[in-house]
Amino acid sequence: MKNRNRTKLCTAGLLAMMALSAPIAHAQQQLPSKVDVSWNRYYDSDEMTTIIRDLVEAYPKLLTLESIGKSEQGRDMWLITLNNPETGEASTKPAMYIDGNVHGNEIQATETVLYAIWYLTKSHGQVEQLTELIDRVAFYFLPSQNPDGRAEWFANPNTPHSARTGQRPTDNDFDGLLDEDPPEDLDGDGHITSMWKIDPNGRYRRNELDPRIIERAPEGVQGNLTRLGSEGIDNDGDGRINEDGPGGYDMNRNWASDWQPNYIQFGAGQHPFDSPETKAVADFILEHPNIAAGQSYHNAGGMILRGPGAKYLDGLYPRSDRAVYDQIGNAGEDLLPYYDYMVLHADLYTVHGGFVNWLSEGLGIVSFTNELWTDSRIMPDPSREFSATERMHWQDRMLFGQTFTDYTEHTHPTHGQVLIGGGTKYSSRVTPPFMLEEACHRNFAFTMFHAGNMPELAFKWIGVEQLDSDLWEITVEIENSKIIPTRLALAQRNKIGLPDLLTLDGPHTVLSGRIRDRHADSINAVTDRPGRLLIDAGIGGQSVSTFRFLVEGDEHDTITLSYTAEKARDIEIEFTLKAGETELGK
Amino acid sequence: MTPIRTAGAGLLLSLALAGTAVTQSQAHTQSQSQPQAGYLTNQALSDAANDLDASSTHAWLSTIGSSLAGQPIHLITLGSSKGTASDHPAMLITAGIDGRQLASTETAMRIAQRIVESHTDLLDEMTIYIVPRLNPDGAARNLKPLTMGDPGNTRPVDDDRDRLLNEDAPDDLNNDGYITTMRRLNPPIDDMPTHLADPDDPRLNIEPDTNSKDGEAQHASFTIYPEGIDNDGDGQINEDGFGSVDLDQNFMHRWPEHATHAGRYPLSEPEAHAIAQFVLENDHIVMALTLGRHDNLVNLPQSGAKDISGAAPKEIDAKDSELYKHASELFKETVGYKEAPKHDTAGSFHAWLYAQRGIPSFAANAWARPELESKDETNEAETSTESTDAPAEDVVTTDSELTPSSVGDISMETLEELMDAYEAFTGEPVDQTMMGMITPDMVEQYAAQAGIEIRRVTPQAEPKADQPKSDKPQSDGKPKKKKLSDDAKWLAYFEQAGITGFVDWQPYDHPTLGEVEIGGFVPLAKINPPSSELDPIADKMTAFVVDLIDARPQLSIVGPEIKQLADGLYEVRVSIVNEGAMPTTTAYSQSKRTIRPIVLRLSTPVDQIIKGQRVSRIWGIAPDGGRSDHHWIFRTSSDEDITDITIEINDPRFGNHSITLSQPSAEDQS
Repeated sequence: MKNRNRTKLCTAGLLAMMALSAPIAHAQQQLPSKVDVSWNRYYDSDEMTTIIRDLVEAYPKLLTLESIGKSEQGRDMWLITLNNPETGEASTKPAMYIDGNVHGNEIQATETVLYAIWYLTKSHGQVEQLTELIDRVAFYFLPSQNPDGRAEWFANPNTPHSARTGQRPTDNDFDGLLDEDPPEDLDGDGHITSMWKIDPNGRYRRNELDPRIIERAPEGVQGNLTRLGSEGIDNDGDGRINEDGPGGYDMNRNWASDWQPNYIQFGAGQHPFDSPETKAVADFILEHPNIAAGQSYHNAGGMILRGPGAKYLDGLYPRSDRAVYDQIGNAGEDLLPYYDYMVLHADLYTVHGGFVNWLSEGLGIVSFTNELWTDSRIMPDPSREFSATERMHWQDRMLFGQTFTDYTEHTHPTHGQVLIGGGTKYSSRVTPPFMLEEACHRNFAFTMFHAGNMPELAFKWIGVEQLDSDLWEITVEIENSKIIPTRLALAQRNKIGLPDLLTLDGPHTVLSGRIRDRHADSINAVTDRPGRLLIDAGIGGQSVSTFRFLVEGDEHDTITLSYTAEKARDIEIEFTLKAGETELGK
Repeated sequence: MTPIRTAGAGLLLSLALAGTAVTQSQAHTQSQSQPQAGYLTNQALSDAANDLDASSTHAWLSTIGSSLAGQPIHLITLGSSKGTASDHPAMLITAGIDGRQLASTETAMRIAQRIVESHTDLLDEMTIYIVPRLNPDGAARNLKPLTMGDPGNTRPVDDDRDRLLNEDAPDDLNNDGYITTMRRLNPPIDDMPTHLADPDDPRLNIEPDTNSKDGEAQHASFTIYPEGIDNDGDGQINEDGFGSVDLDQNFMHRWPEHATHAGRYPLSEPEAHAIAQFVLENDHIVMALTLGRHDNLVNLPQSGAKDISGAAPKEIDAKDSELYKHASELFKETVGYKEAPKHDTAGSFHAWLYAQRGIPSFAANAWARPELESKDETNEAETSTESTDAPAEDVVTTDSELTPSSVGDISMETLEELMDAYEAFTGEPVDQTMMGMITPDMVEQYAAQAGIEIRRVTPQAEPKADQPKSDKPQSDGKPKKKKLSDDAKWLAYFEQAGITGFVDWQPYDHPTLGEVEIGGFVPLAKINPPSSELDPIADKMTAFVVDLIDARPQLSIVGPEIKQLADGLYEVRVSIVNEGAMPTTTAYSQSKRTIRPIVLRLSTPVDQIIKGQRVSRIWGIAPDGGRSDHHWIFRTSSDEDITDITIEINDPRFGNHSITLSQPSAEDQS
């Protein structure tokens, strides 16, 4: 109560001040969007498509929609390009690729992507910082990499973990049949919950105070429940339950870098891009070499992850590249409470053929995967685990019982009397809907920080000296003001992508090269086609690179210098050959 | 963001210098002095394949896909009758993956012809799939006289990464009808000489032996280039020709991700994708023979070593050594090649079949240089396999490569270790300006202090082939028997056989390199024999294929043995036995469960089974009487007769069978 009044007064005072100082252009931070979207709920694949269409229709200048392919079941893979055409085509700018929901159950990833499109479009022309960002870079958004899995998760009974896979029928238990033993919703609550056998020798029991909690029987006490797994029956009569449900592969193990076959990396498929979804995304990314940053949202855990996925690939993250990831990852920790910046194989587990691993290690794109949502955000004391009782309080008192189905007894065809019940598919991994908007916004903020640090080049200084009657020395400084270099050290070492190119047009160039700084005397000179200087190392993050040309020309000759990099906007400058120095402000 | 420009002008220039191209309407290449003379063009191959289909009731032609330039990739199916191909286990013979390996295609076609001529009985037991030329575009390029000998397809690749495509192709400067090599005599200081003429045969280039104990150490005196000019003025010659992806580096097992010619991702090339799809769709393939540049029959593949992940074998698993030894013996008896060059198998087709598809996968060169006649010491000489031709691109793998730095020969990896140590010690990162001034001596000093091992990048990453040591001391006064290098043996062979495999060095005044000599080995001459050799080769290879087929896994069902233990209580035993000389799948795939098993399914419901499983999986059965035994005890329900019960065997390789349990005879009842 107290706080609210104070805030009201503050706001009023602020508004009053603003009224005196300048006309109010808009209510701060409360920009309306042309498309009304509630961020306190989730959207299935069809609803997601509606939101996408509405946004694209409402902001046609900034947004372009294309379907880059079809999923296994024929759903469109929606790709939304966000770019201001007034400042250039998307392909001429560094672009960030943002997607989510490759695992069909990791649903909030899609809302996080949609939120970014929604927030950016309504901010353009209204919020200076974001307007400047949108004018400078391009975005490629793919809200769901697995629309089939998403549709399945929403439409049918599932757990928080199921429908992770694509929906192509697969023989998971090697019995020659496809998807023949899925789980069943035996208690009809619309979810796949847990199943316990009522067993006089069981090790588990219902908690005496709250029978909804099933716990290990304490020592000396006889339990009466045995865990059976998820609810379901033995459809194929092989003695196992639910061992071969729909799909059964992991599209986040289907990418080309360090791809390993199924028996080494479960779910990898038979070869990279053997799913239509991954193939469509791969084709798109390979056709857009201007992609300089990547994010693929997942759940859960509260992590900002980068590769490598396996220890033996540590060498693919040389020092200078690690520094780039560290700067961005650490900034993320500040923006996302309880999230940790982590290295996949070292801090989590080994992943072969992961998506951001391919982006980073295969293509030289600085990429992260954010694992959205961590329980720490709702724990009374985040420094220790939730107790079962505290968890029940949360779900009773905050969620009003909506994520739990109480246990009921049933007769199972092969297991006799069983208890079925437990947490619904919303009970873990998925951000509680009422907390969704904040989570979307914070991740959006991190991702915009990441995007905003894609390379940006500018000519900083040019010095011209006349060495002889027609021999001139031109020294040029080019600055990259952002964290991400135009080429990762990895890219240089492994010959990924194309080197940057600095060309001098005008008089004949005798030799050229990179130099340490404008005061240096010696150059690592190139004498073959020196007017066309290839720079494999690119220009580092937040640094200045200096180049020198020796040309044969006359005073007043026109010189044009052009710098082109795959992952930065091209820059060009024209000047007259004349001794002197020029500072170039931006 | 500038898109890559194809330097059309440069390409036209090089074509103008190239001379007349062979017209495609000719069925066979004309010039007899070319190694490709008498070899099948794509059109001729199509014709031959169509003829086979038309003339035989055991052969059918289809395609598995198209090449990048739209050529059909032919599949010849040999079987007992049309439409029954999938009813039998199959052998896959693949050739022409490497565009230079023209003899492999010829051999594969001839094998097909010989099988339908004389071995149709085998087709009652086994289907044979033959893909004679996986890389029609690469073959077409190599069938032209002015071939540089490139293994790949026609995917544009910016080899030198200068943002121009295919702008510096080879040129036949001296118009001798071959693209050979150039020796730059007296190279200037910026072009360090690397080779010298072999004192024993000045036609050959050798690297200097600086450790020569008797006499003076040798010094290099020339640099070697492919024949051509620097079309794009970048200081290099012929570094970006027609571009290509080497299909035999485009498959999943140990795919060399960042190698220049391995493709953008595994199966990025339509040719590779087509055959991979074919293999995946035809899981009744139980053995494979790939003819091309790889070999695992003359030289046994490395067994036991693992790849970088530690989870897959580099070449083969130790448990499969016996299988490969056996195949190697069959190969020796029929084909009898004594030597085969060794190439890294990373990303290769045959290695993928073994490591990830569980298929016993054999690889052989179609042709090996015959032994030289007479000349006592030449036959016994240990051959150095090091050749000074432009080698097939050495595949770069991440597990052993060091990166050069700007500090002498110190590797970047070592520098980074030092920087990390500095940071750990001082708590501050290294000043980059300081790093710019560091010298190798300083590195050595700091490394010694920090206890860090210095890893250097050596200019030649490969060790020189060991010079064979002379066995005896030179006290007996006899002239030292010099062992011939591999190249010398090639020269001797070309002479004996009357083949133009080598062009003698001719002086030439090069526009940028100055005084050069043009000459050297003719591309493809070491790979493809004169066409007159192809029939004898095919006879031997066919005999080998027949032997492999005879050794195929052969399954039989033993039983069912039924015992009635009590009323409605039965014990059943069934075994599946492999009488063949080869296992049903590789031992490796058996242990790792890499591909689908044979599935046995009992029709009795689970709750009536007392011993055994309703669904059993057989991951593999060993050869020579290896068996998979199955034992069940079950009850029948009151209205069920034991003859109602079946055991279903589900297996794409050996076919599906249904075993009915007949009534046990009186003696079986206990």
